[in-house]
Amino acid sequence: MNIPYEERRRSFLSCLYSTQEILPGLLAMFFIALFSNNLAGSPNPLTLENLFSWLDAVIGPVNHQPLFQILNSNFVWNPFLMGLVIGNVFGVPDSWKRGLSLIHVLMPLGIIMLAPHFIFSHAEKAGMPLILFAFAVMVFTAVVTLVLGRALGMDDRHYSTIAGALSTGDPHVVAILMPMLKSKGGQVINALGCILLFGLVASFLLPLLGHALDMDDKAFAVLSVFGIGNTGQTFNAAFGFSYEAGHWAHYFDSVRNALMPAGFLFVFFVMFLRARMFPDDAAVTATRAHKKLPLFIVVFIIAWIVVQFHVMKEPARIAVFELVKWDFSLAAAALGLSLPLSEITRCGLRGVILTFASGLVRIAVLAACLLAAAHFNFPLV
Amino acid sequence: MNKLLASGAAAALLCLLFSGAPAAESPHGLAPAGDMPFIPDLGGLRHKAFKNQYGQQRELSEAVLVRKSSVKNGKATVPAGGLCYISETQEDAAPFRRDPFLLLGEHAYLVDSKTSVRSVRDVSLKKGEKVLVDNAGYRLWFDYATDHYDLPYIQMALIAPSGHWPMEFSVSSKFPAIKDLPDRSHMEGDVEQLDEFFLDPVFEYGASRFEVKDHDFQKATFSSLSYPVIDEATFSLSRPVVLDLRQEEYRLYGTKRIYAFRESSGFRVSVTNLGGDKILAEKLLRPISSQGYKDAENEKDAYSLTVPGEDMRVEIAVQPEWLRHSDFMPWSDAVPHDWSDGMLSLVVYRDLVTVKNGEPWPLDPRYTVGLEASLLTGKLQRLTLENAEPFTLDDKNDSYDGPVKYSDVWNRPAFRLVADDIEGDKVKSYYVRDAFFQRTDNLSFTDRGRRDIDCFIGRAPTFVSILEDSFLTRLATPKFGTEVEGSHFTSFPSVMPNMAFHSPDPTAPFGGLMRGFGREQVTNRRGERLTSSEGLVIRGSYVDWKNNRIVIPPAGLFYTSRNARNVRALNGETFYMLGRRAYIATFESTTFTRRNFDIDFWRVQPDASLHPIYWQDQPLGVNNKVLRFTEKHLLDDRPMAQINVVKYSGNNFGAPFELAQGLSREQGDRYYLHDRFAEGATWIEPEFVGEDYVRVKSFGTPAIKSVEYTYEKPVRALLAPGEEKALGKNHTLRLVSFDEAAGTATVEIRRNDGSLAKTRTLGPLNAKTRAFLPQHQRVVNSLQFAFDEGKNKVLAEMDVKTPFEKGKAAFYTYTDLKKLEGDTPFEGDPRFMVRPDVCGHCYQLNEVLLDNPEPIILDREHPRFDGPRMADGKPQFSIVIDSFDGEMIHAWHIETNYRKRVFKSANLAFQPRNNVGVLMGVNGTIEGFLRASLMERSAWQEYWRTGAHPHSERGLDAWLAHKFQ
Amino acid sequence: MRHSHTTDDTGFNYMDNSGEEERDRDLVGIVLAVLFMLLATLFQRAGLL
Repeated sequence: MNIPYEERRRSFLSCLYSTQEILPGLLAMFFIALFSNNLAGSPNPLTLENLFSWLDAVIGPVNHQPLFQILNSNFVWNPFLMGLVIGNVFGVPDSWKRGLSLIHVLMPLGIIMLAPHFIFSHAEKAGMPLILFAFAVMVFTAVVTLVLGRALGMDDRHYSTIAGALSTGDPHVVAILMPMLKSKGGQVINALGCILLFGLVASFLLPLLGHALDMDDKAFAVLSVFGIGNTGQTFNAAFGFSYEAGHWAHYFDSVRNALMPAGFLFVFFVMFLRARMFPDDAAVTATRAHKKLPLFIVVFIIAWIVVQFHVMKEPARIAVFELVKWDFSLAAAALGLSLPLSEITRCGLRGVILTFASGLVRIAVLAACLLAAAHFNFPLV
Repeated sequence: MNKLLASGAAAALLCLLFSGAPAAESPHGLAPAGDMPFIPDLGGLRHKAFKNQYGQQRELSEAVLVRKSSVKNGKATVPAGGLCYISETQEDAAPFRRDPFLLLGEHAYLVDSKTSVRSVRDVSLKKGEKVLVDNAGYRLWFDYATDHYDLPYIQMALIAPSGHWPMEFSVSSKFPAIKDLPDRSHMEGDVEQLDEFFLDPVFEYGASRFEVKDHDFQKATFSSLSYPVIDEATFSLSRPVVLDLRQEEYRLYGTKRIYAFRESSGFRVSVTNLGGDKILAEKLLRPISSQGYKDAENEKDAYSLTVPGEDMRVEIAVQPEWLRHSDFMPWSDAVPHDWSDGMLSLVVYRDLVTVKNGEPWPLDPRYTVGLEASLLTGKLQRLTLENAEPFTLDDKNDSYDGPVKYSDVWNRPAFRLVADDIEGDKVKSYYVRDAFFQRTDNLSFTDRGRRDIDCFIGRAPTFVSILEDSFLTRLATPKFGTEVEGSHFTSFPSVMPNMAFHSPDPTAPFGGLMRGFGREQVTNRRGERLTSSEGLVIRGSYVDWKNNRIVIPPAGLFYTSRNARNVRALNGETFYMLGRRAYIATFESTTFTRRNFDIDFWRVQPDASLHPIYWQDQPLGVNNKVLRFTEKHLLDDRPMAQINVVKYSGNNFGAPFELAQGLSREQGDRYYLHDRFAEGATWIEPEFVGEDYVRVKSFGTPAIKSVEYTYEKPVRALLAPGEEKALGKNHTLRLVSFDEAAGTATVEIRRNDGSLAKTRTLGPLNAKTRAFLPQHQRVVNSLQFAFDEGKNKVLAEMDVKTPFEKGKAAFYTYTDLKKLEGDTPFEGDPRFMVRPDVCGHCYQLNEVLLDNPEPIILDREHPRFDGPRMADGKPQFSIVIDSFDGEMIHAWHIETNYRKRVFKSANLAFQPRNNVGVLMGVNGTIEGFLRASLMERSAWQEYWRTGAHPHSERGLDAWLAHKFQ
Repeated sequence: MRHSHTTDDTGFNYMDNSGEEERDRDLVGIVLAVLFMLLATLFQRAGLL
């Protein structure tokens, strides 16, 4: 019989349960992570990451980029995929479940530790006009997606997740937003799929557009970085256009990276305020479960501000990012295990429509602005 | 800039086209296309360090090379020998050491080899040629010729069929030989210029010997070339089985018994069948220990027993105690050259494969085996497999299998060359696939396609020698923009007190040619064309993250100006001085000598920075040069030392000193090296060459103290006795008399008011003194008349080419002379110190360096540093930091002032950097740094092309890294 | 509806996260995150990284 948490709680550490209870689940996450990614300190060469890397080499690069990178294989995706397969093929034993609940500890832990990853000074080199432009495009994309999503009558958790991920251009954001927006696993993964599908299609079509518009390498790099975002797909587009554009895409990617928290925090606060403004509207579900501003978001924001002052220097930053990889590998394993395939498909095709619609609007706006800047000799890039 | 590059590329291409012989010629020893793609990593071609039985590290690597291919009418053609697999060890492999060697991706051991020395007589060739000297494909290359006292000496290399050569050697039949070096052990300190220049007609290099008979500047004849060759090599493809030896008893090995009976000089080893009643093989074996001579042809038979008809070779090894239960690699801790404590073991090698030089590969007759020996040690260094017959690739048949490899699972082609898109005379898509089905990127990097399918895949060191003709163009031609390698950020930046004698770290971006750093062809009075060029090097800089600043340590920034060879007086030669052409007038040199000192062997002491620590350097004077003992070998247990003279810039002197004592070919030694060394005016005579240090009895090398130059072009004046000519604003030069027969001329310098300032007789310029031109400063000074009254220093010199003409004497006059004096502040900008560098052979100016004596600090408040000021007061270049956050440099560039315009370099921190190291411009100094880091730079260039991060062990590589060792 | 992947036989659903339990889990995450980041920074400042 499930004893309510409040009854068994003795201190805040009670959420960790007992070792005996969590060990099987923890081990399951641990081994999935270990066989998914090449994690710091793990010498295991038999990982999904290595398998994909070998397949990359067998298939050969696409636009000089590894195919599985274009398909977004990364430290979140790999364990998630493995968890999904294990969960759907073998099911999830009951004994694992207490341990798997640690995902709720790992998520805020990972999100906060991501803070040192977003450092504004890394983007400064691109120049203020471009940074402001990128910021404006990000907010614009978020707003358009939120409005369109509402117009399409979608679940607000679903469309706001898409808005966050699409505007920041990073599929990882769906995982970051999950505990913030209180979205469901299926919605998160559906959003992830939509973003990836859009990025994949866009990354092959964008070079055609670039050539048709006769864009220069730098402008096209900006278009692919802010029009697609997802790193592997951005590089696929940019290198598909030209080597030079590819190199500039690497250069400008730091701007997108530095602005990313602003993007997902924007979406969160919009949804959070909306939930406060319409407390009785049953259709408003995103962030509804938060009674007040969650503490971990406050801590994340503080950490994000503090790291801007280079309190944490480079090797420490890398070490913390290695911990983030561990953390999200474990969490993604638990998330993968939790999802029956039916739940992902349940969200339907509306997510895809939304993503493509706002993604295309963004590309159009970006391209128009870049061409205008080139025409009027405005020093945007 | 592009024009210059284009002309450079065209020249390189022309050289490539015309240096070799007709198209049908064998590709052996020749370079692939200069712009061929290089892919550093393909999983199936391995690159890894293993250790042998003695714990000595062996760097092994494999590569696939395609050269001399062509694409025409939809067909790609590769000539016989054009597709070449190379397996290489940076050191060498010999029997009885369990030396590892890669055989098409498989880890094998060399267990036996048959070596001999090939001698070729009477080889003649012209400058620039690479002529075949034997059927195997060895080539002799006449790289270039230069002179001492107008007598030629020539720079050669013997190129192995693969294209590898260890070093260029200089020989000459025109100078005193090394054996004529007199005892100079009494000399100490600065002595005046010595008369003799030495150069030996014989280059002795361990197992090799090259003797020149006669030569001039354009052609040479060698009376003999001898070099080691390997006729046969046997490899074992499995770990050996090791059994503790028990005397008078047998050990079971599969279905055999191995008996060992003790005798006075070893063990009589007997291999029998299982029952012990039938002896399959029997021999008296001596235990193997670490003495090097045991692998000599006449010795080695006593140490192994091969069982006829069986895949089995037995040796008795003395295994150190700690190796007893490990039949494989010892730990990686240091193992002494010999050990005292050992167990006797029977070592049985199996899975033996014997390959013969020039014969088909056992698994695949389409490929011919090549075995190449180290020219120094005569031991196996390289195994090549080449296609025996030419082949073509086209639409119908778009791939060609590499040689079939031995495998535990499935013998299959080790790689496959595929050209799957050929349109007319261009190939649009081709790649190499390895034995694990992994492929490279499309080797035709752009849509334009290529006219050949040449390529180099893998990290075999042969890459560096094979690209000698084209590497500079490769690195300097920014096909994909200026490549910047991102830094590895650590908590401990390498804090350098002074960067003199250190080279810049290999990650420093190379900007290539840039307007503002001159590079041009100049012609001297004798009509010799020389390249003159200048550049900038920043070395040893670091981000001091605790103080939010960038530091360039003393001597960390230097301006360099250098010509293709030394700059000579009396010839009207010019060099660049801060963007302007300067004419050298005169120079002052000495011979720096030292005696009775020790040089310790230099060991790399890792301190987590990219700058090694050179504690063991022996300084040669102050800020002049240092001696560094960089390499050592045991040649049949006799130590051989390689000592380098390192210049102030961090580059090595062209000719390292290879020294070993007590070797003699007459007494039957396999090796010979001179026991002393002399080249030009530099010599070294060791008292004792040890394994770990060398005691030097006497050493000397030229050192330059100062040079004088002017920006005004020297003017020729033809004067009859009594005639005069203005010499600057304040003086006139007047010829008093001359004696054509004696070669003398008496001149006087008068002030404008008519008063006599000074009189001098120049000369004599006769056959005797000409024999010391142009290098000897005593003779140079006797032909020059310098005069200084504090305002405007002037100089008149005899025209050495045509001193007397139509009853008149000819002079060149120099006005407004400026002085560059070593270790003093630069006159035009005292923030910089002058460090002139001498030609190590010949006392003349080789390079002008200007560097910072104080650290340069850059931070947010001071993001700009101006380099030395030119004559017009503007800095020649400036360092500009555009984006620096106290930790990482995100953007910085170099600006130059050229013809009233400002030119900017690309962002030299395109990927974040933790230093402002850079190489800008192209001259000999920068070329030296580039050559030393060619492999890494080329690899980074490739990562840069595709935006990949430096290869980490991922995918199958990670798996292989764990599987083996 | 019982989610077979996430709910065990006692009715414990590991993807549910609310109330005091959620706040405690967040707190543990926050404490660990701050601890790791502090340690990394201190280690680096002390020259251990």
